Amino acid sequence: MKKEKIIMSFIATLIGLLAAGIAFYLYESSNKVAPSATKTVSVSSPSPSPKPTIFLTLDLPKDEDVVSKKVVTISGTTTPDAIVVIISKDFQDIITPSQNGDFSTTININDGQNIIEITAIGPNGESVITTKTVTFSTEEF
Amino acid sequence: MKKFLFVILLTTYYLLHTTYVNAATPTPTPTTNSNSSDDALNQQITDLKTRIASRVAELNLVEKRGIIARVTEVSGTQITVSDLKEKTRFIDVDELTRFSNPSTTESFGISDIAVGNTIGILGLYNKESRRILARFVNVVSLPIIIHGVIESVDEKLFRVKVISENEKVIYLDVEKTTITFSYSKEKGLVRSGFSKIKGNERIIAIVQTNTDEENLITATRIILLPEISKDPKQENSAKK
Repeated sequence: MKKEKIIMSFIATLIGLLAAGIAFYLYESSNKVAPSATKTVSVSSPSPSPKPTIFLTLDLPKDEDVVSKKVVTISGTTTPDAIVVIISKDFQDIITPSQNGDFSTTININDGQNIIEITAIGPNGESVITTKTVTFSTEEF
Repeated sequence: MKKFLFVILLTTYYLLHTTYVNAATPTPTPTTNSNSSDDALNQQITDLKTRIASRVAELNLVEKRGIIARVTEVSGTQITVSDLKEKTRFIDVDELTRFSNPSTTESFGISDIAVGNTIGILGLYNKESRRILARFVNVVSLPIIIHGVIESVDEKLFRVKVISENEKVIYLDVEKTTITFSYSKEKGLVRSGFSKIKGNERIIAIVQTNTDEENLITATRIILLPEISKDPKQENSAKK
């Protein structure tokens, strides 16, 4: 009797598994997307932005500096074949750097705040602009 | 043998545990001229040292700075500004702050400063709080520097049409007072004239804005760069 029960339960388990398998297969086959409904999307890799060929590093003057002399030194480094344009409210000059790219010059500033724009322009026309504020004051506070 | 070993051990013990005692230095005898005035002098020196130390610390924390910025807000004893790098800065004003405006002869104070004004601030910058305690505030007018390429020249109206770096069309009014320079590698920066201004050349102009027409501005100085190529960014956008 016991043996029959075991066989029956084994057969029932097998039938159950088979039914579950068929149900899963039918569910999966109904989920398939028709090839006409699919679309191929191509993703192009982003092209890297071109690196600037010119650079400008200013050693002097320090931005927002307060000085007690009206002559200010402007020095820095740029691409050796660039030109450096220096413009302030009443002054303009164009200088060329040395073979290693160093440049230095002096300019006269006015009373109070002065904006000095330094532009390095490369032979290909590419440019870098830096602006510094220098204040002339002899006030003690 | 045991006795010998005992002696060796005892000797070793004493050798290792010998302590050296420094001779005691004689206690300085109080000098006869030591009195209360010396104590007061010492106290004064200590006070001075403390004051110098605190002043040095204060000087390291605070430094003089001068900035130019556009006013974004004025409230009580504080002015909020946006500097040339578009960074928000906070300016404190007190009873010692002096205000001035070169375009007015009347008294000028914080209440006369309006949002949008460009002001120069000279004061003490605190590195810790990153605020400036203003000592001098004055209204300033900034020179505008235009970098661009000449598109055309109107010889009748003495006007130059310039395409700026940000693709803006600007008409430069060349007045009799306009100073024109031209740069070449051979001659450097030399004085030039309106007749030397040609189309398709690179230009730098220092200008003043005219209130009448938005795009028409008077050039105070012009720098012509005929040997310098156009900015590749402008050339690329022109091709597009």
